[in-house]
This record gives sequence, C-alpha cells and structure tokens, in this order.
Amino acid sequence: MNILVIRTHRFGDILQTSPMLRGLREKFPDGKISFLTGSDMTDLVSSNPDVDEVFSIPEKEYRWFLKNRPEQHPRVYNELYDLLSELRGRDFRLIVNRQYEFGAMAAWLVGGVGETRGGTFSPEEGFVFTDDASRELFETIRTDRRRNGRNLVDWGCRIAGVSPGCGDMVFRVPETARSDAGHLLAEGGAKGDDDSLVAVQMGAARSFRQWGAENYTPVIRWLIKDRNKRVVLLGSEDEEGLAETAVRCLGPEGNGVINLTGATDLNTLGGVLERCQYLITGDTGTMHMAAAVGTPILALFYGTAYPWETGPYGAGHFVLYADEPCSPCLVPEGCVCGHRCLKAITPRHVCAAFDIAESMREEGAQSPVWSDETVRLFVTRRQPGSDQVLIPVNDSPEIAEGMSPLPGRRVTNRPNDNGIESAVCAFSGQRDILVRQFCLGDRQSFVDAFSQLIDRLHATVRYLNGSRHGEGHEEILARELMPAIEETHTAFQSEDFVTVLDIVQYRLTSVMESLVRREGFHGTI
Amino acid sequence: MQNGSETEIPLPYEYPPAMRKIRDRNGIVTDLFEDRAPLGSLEPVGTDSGSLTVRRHMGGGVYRYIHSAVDPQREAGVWADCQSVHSDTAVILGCGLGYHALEFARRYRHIRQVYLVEADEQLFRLALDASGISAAIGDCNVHFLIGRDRVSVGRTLSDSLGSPFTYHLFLPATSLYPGFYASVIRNLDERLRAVRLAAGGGRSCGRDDPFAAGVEKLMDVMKSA
Repeated sequence: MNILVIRTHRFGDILQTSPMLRGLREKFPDGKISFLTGSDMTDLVSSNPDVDEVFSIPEKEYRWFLKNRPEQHPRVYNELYDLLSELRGRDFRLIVNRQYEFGAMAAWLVGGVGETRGGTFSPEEGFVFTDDASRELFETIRTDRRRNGRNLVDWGCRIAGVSPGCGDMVFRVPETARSDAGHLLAEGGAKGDDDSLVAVQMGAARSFRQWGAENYTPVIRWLIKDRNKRVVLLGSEDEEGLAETAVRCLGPEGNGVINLTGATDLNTLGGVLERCQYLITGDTGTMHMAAAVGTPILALFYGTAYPWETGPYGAGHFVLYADEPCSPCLVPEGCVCGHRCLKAITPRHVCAAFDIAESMREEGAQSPVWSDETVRLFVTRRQPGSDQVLIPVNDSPEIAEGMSPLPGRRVTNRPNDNGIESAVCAFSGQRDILVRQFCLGDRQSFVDAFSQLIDRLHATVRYLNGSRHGEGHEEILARELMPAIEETHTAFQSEDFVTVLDIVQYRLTSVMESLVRREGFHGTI
Repeated sequence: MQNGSETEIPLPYEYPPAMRKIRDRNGIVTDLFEDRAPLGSLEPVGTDSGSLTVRRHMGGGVYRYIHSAVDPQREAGVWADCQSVHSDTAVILGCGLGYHALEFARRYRHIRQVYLVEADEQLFRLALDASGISAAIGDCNVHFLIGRDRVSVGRTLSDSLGSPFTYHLFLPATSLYPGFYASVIRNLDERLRAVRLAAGGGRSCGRDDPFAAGVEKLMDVMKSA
C-alpha cells in the first residue's frame, strides 16, 4: 500500500508529523510511506525512520518566481506538472495532507481512487475536508480555539486515522552534525562534558511572537550569574541583531554566552540542542526540534500561540501562559489590550519556572509551588494511546514521578562510535545527489549540490581532526583527502563540472572507502 | 568564477574531414561546416577507458572537459539512466561527442523522434568522427539542429513539436553556451506548457477538469497566497 504525506514548509510543523508517521508505520507495516516536502526540508524528513521515500519541491522558489518572474512561469508549470504527474503515477491508496491550499490542491491532483485525509480540493466546492477529525479541528479553530484541548500532533494522528500518542517526536541527528555542533560549542568555550548548557531562542518568525531582548537579557544574566549556567543563543540569520543586542546589554556577563545565532543549519541545530540541558523559547520551530531530540523545554506562550494546540510535545516540558480572556489572540498586530498576555510574563516568572522545572526533573520535587495567579505554569504529560495534556504544576505533584530522566547525551566522540561510517554515508548520499543534478543539467542545482558536498567533506575533516582514531587517518587526510578537495575546488572555479565529477566519483570515493576500511567497515559506498 | 564564455580560442590541430554522411543527409547542416575551421579551441584527449574525450580551452590556461576523462561511456550510461522519459518525442540539448545521445537512444527505444541540439559546430564535427553519432545521420527520425542561430532553432522546434515531449540537458555542453541554451530552454518550456494545456496531458482529475488545467489552477493559488 502506497501512502503519501504532504507538508512542505515550516520545520517545526514537519517535525510534528513524526508521531503520526510512526502510527502509520504501525498500522501499515508493509506500506510504503512517501513524503512530499520542500527542498530545504529534505534532510529533516529523510532522517525519519518511518519515511521510505522523499519527494521534494522548491515551493518557496516557485512562489517567488510566480510573483516576480512571469518569464519563468512555463518552467514552473512544467516542473510542477512533471512532479505531480510522477506522484499520480504512484497510485497512492492513502494521502494524508497536513497543509492548506498548496497541500490540498496537490492532494487533489495526485489523488486517484485512494482516500485523502486532512483536506483536499474540489472544483465544485473549493477547499474541502474529507474526514471527521479535520472537519472537527477546522470548526473548533474557526469558532473558538479555547475549546480545543488537543495538541496538533494528536490531531494529526486522528486525521491520519491512527491512535494518538503512538510515538514521540523524532529527529535523528547525523553524526557529522553532532560533531559540528560539538565544534561550535567548543569554539564558544564549552567542553565536551559541559552539563551546564541552557539554550535560549529569542527570535520568532513574526515580531509579535517575540518576547524581546529586553526581557530575555535579565533571564540570561540570572542563568549565568546565579545558576552558573552557560547560555547558548540560537536563532536564524535574521535574528543576529537581536542576539547582538542581548550580548551587548549583558556587559561582562556576555562572556558567558555562546552566540550561535545564524550559525546552525537544521541538522546542527539538532546537534546543539541535544547537548543542552534546557531550552527556553517562545512557540518556535526550535522548540519542536528540542522536543524531537529529547531536550527539556521551558516555553513561553502568548499572542496567537495557544499551548494546548502547539505546546511542546512529550512528557515533562514546561509552559508559561497568561490565560487572558482574549487569548489566544486573533489580531496580534492590532491588539486592543496592550499585548497584556505577553507583558504579563516577566523575567521573574521565567526564572522561577526554570527553578521549579529543574528541581522537579533533577531532584524529584514532589510538591512544586507556583503561586502566581496571572501567569500559570503548566507541565506536559503524555501517555501512549491518549492525547497529551497540560497540567498546572500545583495540581500535579505526581508528575515528577512520571517525568522521564534527561535522555542520554553523547558528549564526546568515542573511538568506537560510527562517526566515520556516518560521515561516509553522508558523503555518498550527497555524491549521488551531485551526479543526479549533473545528469538533470540544471547548473544552479549542480552548484548547490556541490556546495553541500563540500560542506559535508569539511565536516568529515573536522570530525577526523577532532576525534581519536586509529593511526593512518592523518596521512589519508593530508595526502589524499585534502588535495582531492582542493582539486575539486580548482575545477569548480573553472566550471569544469566533468572534472569535478570525476574527482568526486573516483578519487574521493576511493579515499572514503579507505577511511571506512580502517574502521573495519566493509562495504561499497 | 568565470561565466561560460562563448568565444573560441584556436588551437593548432588538423582535423580529418569525415563529413560524407552528413553531406548526403542535409545540405543546410553541411553548409554550416564547409567554411568552418576544423577544431578551434577543442582538444581531443584519450581517457583511462580508451575512449576519446574532448576539452575546450577557455583561455588563460583554463579548460573544461566535455566528457569524463576516466570513462565517458559509463558517464553517458548514468546520464541516460537519470532521464525521465514519458513521451515519444525527446529533445537533447548539448551533443558533445554524442556518447550520452547514443546511450539515450539505446535505453529508450520507444522514442520516435529525437531532436539533437548542439551550439558548437566544431564539436559536432568532432563527434561525427569520434563516436557512433554519424550512424544516426541516416535516420530520418533523428533531427540535428547545429549552430547558435537562436531564432532558427527556436522556430524549428516550435513548428515541429506538436505533442508532449521531454527535453534533456547535457550540462558540460550547455554550460559552454549558456545564453543560447537558456533561450532554447525558454522556448521549449513555453511550447511544452502550450501542448500540455492543449492536449490536457491525457490525465484527468475530475469529469471536467483535466490535470493540465489543474496544475495551472495550483499555480494561481501559489501566486496569490
């Protein structure tokens, strides 16, 4: 049975489909699960063990061309036609669409005789929902979001027709990304066994979803000075200004901050979060990534964010929420309440919540006390087969017993780990992508694939330099790997793409094979 | 990085004329070659596998290979395997020495009409002698569009392609003349979209809504969102 899941953008939302994918795998153990996602999300989906095949579409690029470059419309049309036509040929018996408009229309075009769940399109009726769970979710959100007590992850399971709570959020950090994360943290002064790291994500996609550097700064200062933590700032390139403002305001305490804003891709973000003891954040994609790698979260919810809907998924995460009558907000940019829900949460609340979270998790505090009535502190609880719930900490002394301990973290590169094998797999995967792009003939795609391949090779070099491996690796690095990388660069500069490919396919592949042979791994790459 | 230069730097090389077959087939194509210098900046080079490849000198000691210097046949096989072929007409952009076009023909025998576009006349001359491409000259279902006359190539393709087709790019050859091939690709995309919409693509999403029109509708939604 062929199954297609559609979700093309927003990495947090894509990660939120992982429990549903687990449920589909359990329900259809012999089924083949395909996933249609955005080109920039391919890594995220392909690392999921419950996905057999990934189809990617440069949706953002297409939207830009459609709005700005009319001369590119025929190309976009033909590429969309080819992709959807190929998907249609797969004869999917079940399509689970987790995205409005684009996803619904794609589901309509791809769908044949099979069942579509989660929303599709009809020429007569427009966008329609074809299953009860989708209709119920849409009606609840449309009429009164406060009636919704169910996390979207659990909604996703119901929409797909699988039982809620059947799996955790999942993201498998590649070994090279784990190594890169280690290097980034080490450059910032964190040792491999540093267990004092607390990640802070200050930014958010929309300005009205940001708590502000002025609020985060005192929390960061308190973590460094009073709790002896090292703070790791995370965020996208767009949020670098926000991070710089916070570091500047911190003054001398700013030295205790490792600023990785704009420095991580999705894989490395997972690797950094895995090393952190906690993440403090608003409702962001980074929050879902932390949940997917098992890092405890203290989340701040306000504005449009509604914790019952999109709160961190998993047991033992904490959520601060000022439950104003007008929350969750429908018009954040035109708020007539003076953003009361956001301003209600103060640095003092965050610090107090952090202490409670830490004591419940690490010391097993049985009777946490949260005395504030304006801002409430909730903890997440999840049990297999049922929906996740949010419980006020005061009402749940038993929660501490049910909280899972901190997941095991790999803090150093051990000599017998599978780092080399993982690096070589990453190389061979990217090499195959490069060959494919060469064959498809699009120059820009080839250039992009080459750039990613070089990134992976450099990650391998960094990994080898930073790990304790058997003798001979230094020689291979110096005599074979580095000169070959250098020559691909020279050929690439001349746009001699054939020579680039010759070096990658023959010399670099041979070097990689000799590296894995030294590790005792025998196979062809 | 250098842009794909469309200039030629002559090299001293005597190319043995092997034009008989193409003269028999097509006088217009032959005329293109009659007054051309035999090789210009192209340099044939032997490969590890014993086949011939060719590299083009770009000036300043920089050159670009057109086919693998290790094993051009293997490269051509991989290229052909990667192509998605779902109609009986194909356009191949960039011929080089013709290895990949021959592999394409071997693998996809159902293809009835092939249009082979090569911007570089000298490269095509070399192909006629270096690979089996000259055998295709006698095949009336293989159409050669040689040279860089954008208008003529565009018009010929538009006039000839009346049903859905696929087109396939050979990057090392197309990247030598990016302006020319970009223009041809734009023409092909416009033509392909037009024939798909006209033909309905042979697939239907509903009683009155053909697949081809559905894709157009999807684009409207993406544009307005």
